[in-house]
Amino acid sequence: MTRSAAISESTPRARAPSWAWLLLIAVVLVTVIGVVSDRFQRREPEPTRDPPTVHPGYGPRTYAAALGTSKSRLIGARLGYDHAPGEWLRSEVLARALIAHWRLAGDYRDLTEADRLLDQGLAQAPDPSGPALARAVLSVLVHRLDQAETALDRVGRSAMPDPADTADATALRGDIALQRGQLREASQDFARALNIDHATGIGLRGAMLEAYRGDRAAAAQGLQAILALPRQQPVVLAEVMLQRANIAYMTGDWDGAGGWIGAAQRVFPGYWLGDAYAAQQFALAGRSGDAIRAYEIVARRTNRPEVQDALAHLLRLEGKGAESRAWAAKAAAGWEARARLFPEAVVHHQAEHEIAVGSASRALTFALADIAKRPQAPSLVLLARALLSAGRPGEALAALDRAAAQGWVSAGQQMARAEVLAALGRTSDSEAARAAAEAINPRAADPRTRLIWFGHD
Amino acid sequence: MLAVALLALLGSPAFAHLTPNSEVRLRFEPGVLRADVLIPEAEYRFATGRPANDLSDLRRYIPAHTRATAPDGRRWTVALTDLRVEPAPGGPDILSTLTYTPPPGAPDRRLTLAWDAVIREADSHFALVSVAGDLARGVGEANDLLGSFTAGQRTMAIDRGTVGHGTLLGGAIRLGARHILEGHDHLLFLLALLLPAPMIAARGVWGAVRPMPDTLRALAWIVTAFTLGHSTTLILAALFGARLPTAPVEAAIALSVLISAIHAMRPLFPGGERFVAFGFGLVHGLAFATVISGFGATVLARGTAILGFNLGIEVVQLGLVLLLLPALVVGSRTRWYRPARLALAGFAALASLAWLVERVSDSPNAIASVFAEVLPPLGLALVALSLVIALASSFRLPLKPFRRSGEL
Repeated sequence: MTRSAAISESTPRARAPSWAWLLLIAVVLVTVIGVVSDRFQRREPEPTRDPPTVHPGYGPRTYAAALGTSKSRLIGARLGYDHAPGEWLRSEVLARALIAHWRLAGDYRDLTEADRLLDQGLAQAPDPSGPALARAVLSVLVHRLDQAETALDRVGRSAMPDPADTADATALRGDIALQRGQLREASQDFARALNIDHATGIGLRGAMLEAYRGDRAAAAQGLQAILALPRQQPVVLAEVMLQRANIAYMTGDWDGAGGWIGAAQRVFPGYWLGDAYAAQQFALAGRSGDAIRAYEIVARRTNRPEVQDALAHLLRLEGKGAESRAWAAKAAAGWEARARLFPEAVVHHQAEHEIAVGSASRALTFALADIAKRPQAPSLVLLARALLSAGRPGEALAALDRAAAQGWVSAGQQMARAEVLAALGRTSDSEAARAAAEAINPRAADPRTRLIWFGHD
Repeated sequence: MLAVALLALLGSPAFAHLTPNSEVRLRFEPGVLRADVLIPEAEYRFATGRPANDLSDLRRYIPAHTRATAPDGRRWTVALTDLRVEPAPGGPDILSTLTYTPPPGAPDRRLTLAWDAVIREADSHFALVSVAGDLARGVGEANDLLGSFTAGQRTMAIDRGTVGHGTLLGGAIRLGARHILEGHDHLLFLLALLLPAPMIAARGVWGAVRPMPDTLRALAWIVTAFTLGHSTTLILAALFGARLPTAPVEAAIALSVLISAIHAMRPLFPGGERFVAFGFGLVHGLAFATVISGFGATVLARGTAILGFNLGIEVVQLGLVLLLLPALVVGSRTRWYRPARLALAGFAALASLAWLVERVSDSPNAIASVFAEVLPPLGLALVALSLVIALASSFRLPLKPFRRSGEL
């Protein structure tokens, strides 16, 4: 008898093989719970359906028709201007027609002509009359914020401004505040503008501001309200639907975004931006070949550097160097041509182009120029990425701190922060930032997020 | 018309379009510098136009795009010691290890490193450079960023100072202590083996309490055998390069925790704990070896580092045993010990199961994550409880044998 047996307890224990069963059950439970939980975490978000109730009202039903209508208006406005080139009102009408045509065709020569006409009109008209509101619109479009403010001040001096003009002017002040990263002021301006006039454009910008401030649900609700309005122009519906897709991207709902992109293509067929978004959806679905072909069609059709950059970026991610460089060169030439006309308007795009398919050092130069004029969070995040690429993570973090202080809430911003903090060796802070990003967008860390060129954050 | 034009004001603010960058993680070892390099495969193809599945091309390409020079201008030798292409969520990555050796008499921690792989061909690509290991400075697995190689900056002057063997030993002790403290599976294995140490097995169950000297002897045997086991493989790995793939080693460690936990519930190998501790110690040592895979180019440096690393592990192990001793010895003489032992053993078994599933399936397991969160506070609570017991018993350990009625 061993010593152990000698001093052990004498109470016999009934045979209890139950521990083995308990262990087996535990194994099964751990496995099943682990796998199910993992699956649950990775589950696709519920896709937002394309609301079948959304139908366009009046207005050109296709992009080609809209372009035709715009050209006709342009011809009409030009005829009117030619009859009396010294009248500032006719200058303004032609300038507005040119801006509208630029919006669809993307030809910056239209904006150059509009710019000249508006300057001319303002010079011809006695202060405070004149095309000041149109001047402000164009100035905001090309990111000349000080010039826009001067024009809005002139609108404000009008004796009896039209309520719609007052609303537009107030909303334009919101746009300026937004581009300067002053979100609270922008929000107040949009709210004041909406109190005066419930225009679709103002409502849309107010709703998107909610999204930038982190309230995607409120933003989506705002867009749903706009989509529910009767007799919307197809082009307006398509714009709103693409913005709705952007909100879906912000929360990682790629299928939902796809639904809205499809709807935009349905209500306004032939629209290049809708087609570019659709190409992007192919890439997200893992159909890189289809995405490349779809992008190529849009890029060749429109010659827009935005699309050429998206294509070059996708080709780069696919490792197709020669093709990527060829498209990147075309895009660079396109941006350069635009920059000769409106440098402030394209410097952000140039920084993006350089960081994605160009040179890191040039990206930093452009990013610095961008925030000098428009210190909003997206520009600061772009600068942070350029600084990180240049091996200056400390300065990158300072730029991200400035962005965070503005109140912008975005998964992309948090991911940039996570990468910068990781580069600084602050691992736990980096993990916290990454968790914050994933709380906003569960797909924030998914490498496929890189494929989102249009509407990414 | 203006209202529609105003929609154009709503450009989507874009934060940044991303392309994956390279990473160069440096490990400073006495007499040698190693660099673990990650190059996104698509970026390599984008840059060179060549497929990454041609490893012979890569073997020429990577060393040709880096250079290390001593302060006097002499070149370090560069050798590609590992190269593979592995799938990753964002597309495959090219993973390689480069070994830089300084010329005779040149400092091994002061150099100018040049790097332009992919960057030479793709201007916007960049490579983040960090120090992932520097034993002398106590950098183990953390990241200490040095900067980045870009098109505009393809060289970097690096000076990590000079260190002696004393500094190296101190760094290795810190690394060993930190590794065991952060290695939940190692600690749980040890705890599971310690739990039944004060008990005697009989008829397939844990029964009466051992006499105090026997308990102390059993504890000493377990700790010594585990130390001998992991030291053996650690030395074999460090000095002779003995290796096993990480995945089966990690799974075997989880299995060792599971078996020890079951043994703590019901004796599987009564009296054989020391042999099991030694056997599984061999496996745990293989895991330690992955941490100290680069302890230097010379036998003296490796020997110093292994000694320090082992000392760090032993200090923590012995400290833990001493801290838990009151709970084990005094606690085992109370009626609470059996439920506590079963609960802790069950906890260890569940944790090990979660790790096993995670490591065998090679996918994250939510339960394993929960255990990772719970284990540190639980460990602290156990130590605190043990100290309370020690205080309550005025640090007097019971030396007489003890029998409890009803104990199984």
